[in-house]
Amino acid sequence: MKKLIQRLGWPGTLALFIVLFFVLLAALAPWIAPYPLQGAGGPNVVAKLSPPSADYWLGTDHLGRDILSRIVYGTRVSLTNGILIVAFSLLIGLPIGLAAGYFGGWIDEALMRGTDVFLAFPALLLAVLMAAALGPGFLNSVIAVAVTWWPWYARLARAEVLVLRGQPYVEAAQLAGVSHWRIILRHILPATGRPLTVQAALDVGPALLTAAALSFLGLGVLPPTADWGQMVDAGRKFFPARWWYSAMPGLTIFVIALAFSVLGDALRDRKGGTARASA
Amino acid sequence: MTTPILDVDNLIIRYRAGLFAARPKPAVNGASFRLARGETLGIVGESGSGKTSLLRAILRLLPVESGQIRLEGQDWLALKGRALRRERQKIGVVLQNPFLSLSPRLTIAEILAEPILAQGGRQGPAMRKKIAGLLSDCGLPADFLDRRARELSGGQAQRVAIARALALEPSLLILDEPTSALDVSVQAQILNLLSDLKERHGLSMLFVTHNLKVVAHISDTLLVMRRGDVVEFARTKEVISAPADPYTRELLSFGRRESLSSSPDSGGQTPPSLTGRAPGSLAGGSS
Amino acid sequence: MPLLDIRNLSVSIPTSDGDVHAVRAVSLEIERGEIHGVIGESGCGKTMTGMAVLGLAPKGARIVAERFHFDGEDLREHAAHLRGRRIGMIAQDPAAALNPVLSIATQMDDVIRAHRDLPHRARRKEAIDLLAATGLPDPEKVLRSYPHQLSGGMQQRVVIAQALATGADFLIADEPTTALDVSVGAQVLALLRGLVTERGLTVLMITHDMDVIAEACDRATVLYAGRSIETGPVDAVLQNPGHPYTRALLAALPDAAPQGARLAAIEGSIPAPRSAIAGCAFAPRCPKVLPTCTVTPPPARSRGAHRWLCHLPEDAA
Repeated sequence: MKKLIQRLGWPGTLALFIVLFFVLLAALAPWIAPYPLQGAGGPNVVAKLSPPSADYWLGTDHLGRDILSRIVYGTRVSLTNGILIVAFSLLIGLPIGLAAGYFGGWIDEALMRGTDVFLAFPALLLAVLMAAALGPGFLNSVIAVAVTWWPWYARLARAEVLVLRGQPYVEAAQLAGVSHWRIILRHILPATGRPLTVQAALDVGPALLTAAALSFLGLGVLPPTADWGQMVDAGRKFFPARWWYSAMPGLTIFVIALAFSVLGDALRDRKGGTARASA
Repeated sequence: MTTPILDVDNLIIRYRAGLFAARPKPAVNGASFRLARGETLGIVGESGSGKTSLLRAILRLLPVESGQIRLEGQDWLALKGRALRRERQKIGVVLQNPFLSLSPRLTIAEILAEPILAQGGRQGPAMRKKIAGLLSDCGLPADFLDRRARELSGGQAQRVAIARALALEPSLLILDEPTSALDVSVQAQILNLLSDLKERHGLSMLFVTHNLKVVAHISDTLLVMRRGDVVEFARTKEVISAPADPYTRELLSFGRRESLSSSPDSGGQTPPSLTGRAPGSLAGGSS
Repeated sequence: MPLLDIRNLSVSIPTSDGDVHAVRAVSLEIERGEIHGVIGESGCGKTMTGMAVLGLAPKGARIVAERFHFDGEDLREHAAHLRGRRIGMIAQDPAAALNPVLSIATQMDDVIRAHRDLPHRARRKEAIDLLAATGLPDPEKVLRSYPHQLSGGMQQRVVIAQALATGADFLIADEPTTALDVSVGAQVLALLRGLVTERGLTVLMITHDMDVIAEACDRATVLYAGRSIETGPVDAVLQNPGHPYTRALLAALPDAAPQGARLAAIEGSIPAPRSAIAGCAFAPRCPKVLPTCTVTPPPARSRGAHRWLCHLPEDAA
């Protein structure tokens, strides 16, 4: 614990625990949520729009569902959303960046110019356009955001590979007659993979924020599945009289986005070792 | 006469300039030389002399403009792709900085096995035995196999790099400034090791360096380059005793005390007083 | 009185795993107007000694010495004040010592302005004079250049001119030719020798290269494991070394043995920087080690101005 604080600092450690707390919420939602049925979407008309109370700590929504339970269930959607976006992006971006950086020449030119096309659009606008074209739904919103996300990983991977490519030990392997495939698997990928994975882990926060924005616009998960962005949107009709409906999920989004951002900063300048590949 | 290990004929290497730029002077301007089997050729030059370009061309890392390279009689420049990759095992390479040329992620065993695996070798006890043999050939005990490069000293790491270069029993060993990053006492160890290997395995070596004195010690033939031109190519003994080029003479005279003994202010110091010297200290007078 | 007078200097850096003894016992006496070489292999403490004289030892380092004086001033108190005024520094890599985005004129002028209150024209003339003094053929053109437009040798001359511009009369040159080609390095050394005679400079030359010592220095001190073990006129140290380590180091040079013959490599390795050393630091590697060598610190032996620390009697060594 002491070591953790020493390495990440106080804010970083706190942020790490907040993130872990949300992961735990997502994993144990049915056991943690006070009203699991309502969290999963079941209506509870007897308590429509009731303010925070002893029974409903964060109040209820227009169908009487406990907002706390909805937020706990929404954690599942949001985190899976964030993780899947990043995973898809990595899956597309990493091979493209590897190939561009390793082989160079016209392969590099073609791949990176293609990547630049995606980077030329404002990311959120592109995501909204994609989501609108694909139609709402969980998987579609993931794909829509991932499309705007992968070029960053491609560029990052390419930059890492370019550095590694010039390392004498990579050249030595090539001179020993080791095939490109083996060099990539054995020397390049392990060294590139790590900094990229760290970056990706930190991107889960911003990614789920973008996904929440999509669902706020009605382009994400469809009701009755609980989703923070969609809850904020639904609560707008009752704002400010029933403020808790929008405010509680909004606050949750704020906390988790902030936690990821603080954790990211702490990891980037942590003492005693960086996430970079260099030996 | 037997075919030389390496036969380079009128090699010209020129870096591509911009589309409309004037053609630059070649980096290597018509180099020709031969390396006989079991001998060591030293290539000496300073930065910009073209020695690195020449080396990289022989390693097929750089295209040549014209000329020929024959390795054991085979047209080395004609090889491509898979064939080139297979034939690369004929050349072992040792680079200047052992810590950069050994992967920081792999154990010494993995580093030594890599070239053998690449040429179709199999993992197993036989492999382990072979790489342990390579290590002991280079003067390191087998318990180094499970260490990583960063746990070794500079001299030990360079021994590992030499062991790797020998893994595929190459006919030619190319050394690019192999001792320049090492201390003098360690340099001596590595040079001794190279002499031993040459004697034991009849190795042919190409030793590229900026340090004429190092290479003069272990090479049979010397080639001195300057600004892309070969200014000297002869048996080492002849070069040392009668350098044909003034540049070679300059390199040889550096550090020779004679150059200083004529200067008026050497030895003109008043020796510091030796009285009252503290025991166990080099300090002089207590004035 | 020597210009630089160091007696039994030690520099230790506390770490969580114990103290690192970067310098254990270095004594140096550098007379005015000489080039004094400090030679040793990596880990011998030569660079840290130079840093300590410049007042640039790492934060928290403990500096202990019986005497640590520059021209009568205690370096423990005045090093920072003397640096850049009387003590100048020439680093190994001139390219790193110059700012790549500023012209040489700006960089020269900054230094001159900091040390002398002169009008613009006079400063420019001073800059030209200094560059000319370092043997740069066309000083006005050099002033208009940027570092990358100059060769390594020219860059090193600019760095030397800057050191002169501070008015320093004592220069610490840490491997000043290692980054340069041999022929260019020889010219830079010749320049330093010239400056010593013409301007009465004194130079502390830190190097690992025996050739540099032979080429440029009047006297030399050999360091091993943070200790000065031998000192004297260069001819004596190089041609008739007293300490077994110096002898071994010279014998390990490739031109010491006949062509193709085995070189006398030094077996073993230097003591760990954290370990304590009881007797002679070289004892574990010494071919002529005596039982007492590992226990008692070696006494000083001498042949005129040539002194070394060894248990072996002078003629037996």
